[in-house]
Amino acid sequence: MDRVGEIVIVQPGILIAQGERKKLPPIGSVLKTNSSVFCIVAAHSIDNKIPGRVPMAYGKPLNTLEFEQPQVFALMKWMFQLIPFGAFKNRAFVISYPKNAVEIHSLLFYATDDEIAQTISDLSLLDFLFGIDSAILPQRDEVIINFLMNYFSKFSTEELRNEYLRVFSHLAVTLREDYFTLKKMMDRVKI
Amino acid sequence: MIGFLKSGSLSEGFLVRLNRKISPETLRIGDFVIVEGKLYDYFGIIEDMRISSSNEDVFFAPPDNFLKKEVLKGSIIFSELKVAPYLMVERTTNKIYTIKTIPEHFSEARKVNAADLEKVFMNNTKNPFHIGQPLTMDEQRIFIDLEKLCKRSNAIFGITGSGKTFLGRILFSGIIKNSIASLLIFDMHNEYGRYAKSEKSFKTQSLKALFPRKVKVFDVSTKNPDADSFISIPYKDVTPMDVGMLSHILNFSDKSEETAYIIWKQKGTDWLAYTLSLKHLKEKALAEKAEELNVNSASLSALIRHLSKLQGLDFLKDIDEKESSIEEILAYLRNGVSVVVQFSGKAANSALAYFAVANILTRRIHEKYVDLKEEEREKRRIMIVVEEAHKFLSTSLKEQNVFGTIAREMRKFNVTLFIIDQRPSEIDSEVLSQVGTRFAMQLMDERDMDAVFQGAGGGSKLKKILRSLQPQEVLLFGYAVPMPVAMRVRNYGEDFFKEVKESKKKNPIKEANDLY
Repeated sequence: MDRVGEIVIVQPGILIAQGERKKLPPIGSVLKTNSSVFCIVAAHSIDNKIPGRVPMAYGKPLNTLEFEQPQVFALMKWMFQLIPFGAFKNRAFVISYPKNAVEIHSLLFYATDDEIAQTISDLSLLDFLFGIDSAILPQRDEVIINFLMNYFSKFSTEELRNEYLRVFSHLAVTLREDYFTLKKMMDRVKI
Repeated sequence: MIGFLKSGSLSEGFLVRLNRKISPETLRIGDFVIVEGKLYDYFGIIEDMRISSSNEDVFFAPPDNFLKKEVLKGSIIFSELKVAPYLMVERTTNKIYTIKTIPEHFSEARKVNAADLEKVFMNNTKNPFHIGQPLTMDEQRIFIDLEKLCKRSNAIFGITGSGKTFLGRILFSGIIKNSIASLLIFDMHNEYGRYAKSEKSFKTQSLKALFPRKVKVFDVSTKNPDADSFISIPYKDVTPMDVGMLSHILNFSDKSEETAYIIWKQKGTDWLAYTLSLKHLKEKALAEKAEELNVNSASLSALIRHLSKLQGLDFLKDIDEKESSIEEILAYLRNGVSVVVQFSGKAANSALAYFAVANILTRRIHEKYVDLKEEEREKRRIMIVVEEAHKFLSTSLKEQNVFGTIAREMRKFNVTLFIIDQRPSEIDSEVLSQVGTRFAMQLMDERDMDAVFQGAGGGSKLKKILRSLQPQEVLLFGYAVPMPVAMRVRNYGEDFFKEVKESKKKNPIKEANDLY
């Protein structure tokens, strides 16, 4: 099991992890810590290792720049934000923020397809994500869209229609006051 | 489960939100619905349906494929049923109550099943008789308590082609088969005798063919080969009241009626023969007779002219009272044999013949039954069936109306009326209010629809259901059923014939003949 990153900052409702260049987990993907706290990737950012350093523009293609000035990339940190949303308890997946603080330097791994399926078997995961303050999760809709696209991609054609109906019928209740968001999601999550 | 209770009140009924998987098109107005409370099952019927939305934004950008539309069902778009509750059945005891309370929010609503229908429609029923099935549930059966039905006057209302006759034949078959009442059917269009035409113009069995020993067919004309006997009514059996009932056909004025009464007072039962005997008198001789009778000469002349029309009725004869069919018919009725009076030959489609026979016979039966001792009356109930009843029971004929009297008062004498009619709005409201059980079939005229519910509570709720009925469908409500029921009348065909056809054990006609 390859690790995807390591948690370096723990803040209320959000975790920040460091990954590797070109190996950052996509937005909406589900990760788990080595203590089995499940999180969803909410955003990416690239920081400088040296505080206060501001990169300058070189005006060169990326491959050329990487070849000529490798230190430019070596001075960067490849970061991503995570929203922890639950953990297994007695084999059942329970959706909630972790009661105890997630250990800093916890390693992160991709959740398996089975684990992802279990996280969304209880559709209140979607309600949980929709309930997160937009200051913490500004790209909420994109996170959910990507999560669902990834989730649906694992289904066979026959099963897909029923699962789509199950998930979106639930979302239609959650978003009954916000039809245009629901419509955007239905339009974007193509099956 | 088809949905859950969203809101409700005793006065306005229940609002049921349909499950997203239930299409409103699988239900229809008039269907039975049960809302399952904690303690009771609430029986109601769908009174109205609607589709609605929780967010109007959806109509600015409607879903562009089937799947998206499915997603929105039950949340942003949804369907609701308005259910009129009528009964509640206690779960533990199966006791039935009228609605006294309401179930809680989210109580589950479902369609009825056979056990539910049995619980409600066969509860304490001596003679449950299968008459149809719920509108959208062919596999379920609805029963009526025939014993209860016959205790009061009843009516079938519906336009031509709505299926009144088929329903009538089914009900009458049940009544005859179970020997609940003797029927006297005034069969205007010859549909209740031996054979009748089916919807597709095929010859189909009618009451005499199904119950050869329990039904006697009389005809006013000797031209009918299927008749067991023929009607003869002596002039002496005709009263001015009978003639008054025919005033709309005979063009009788009040003055003529008054003249008839004056002659009747003087000549007694010979009044008609006497009046008709004056027909050939010259003007001067007639004036002398008028003076002798103390009536106006012109009125006498008009009366004779009007009454002369009765001479065209072959069954009305200047014969001795002993030759009258009335006693014979009464004897059959009192011995459990039903009598169908048909109108063939010249009398076919003759309103005069029909109304004259129906009125005269009914008046005599009324008189005889009133005179009978109570124990005699209780032996056999009689139900008189009249078609085109509005012509007997209109408000204008209220005073002299024997049918109205039967509807109003004869229940205690064990004689009831069964009205078959297409214009209930023309029937006197007092009579309508006495109709115990009503079978309302397809009607088009708004006034007729209103009249159907006259004297019955909750009419406005049921009117929508009535408006939705198609041929062969009926809205049944009143005394004989615990709650209103919209249903499709069962098929009148081979299966029905097999079920009701008379066994060859008893011969009540022979028993009745033995009385002579």
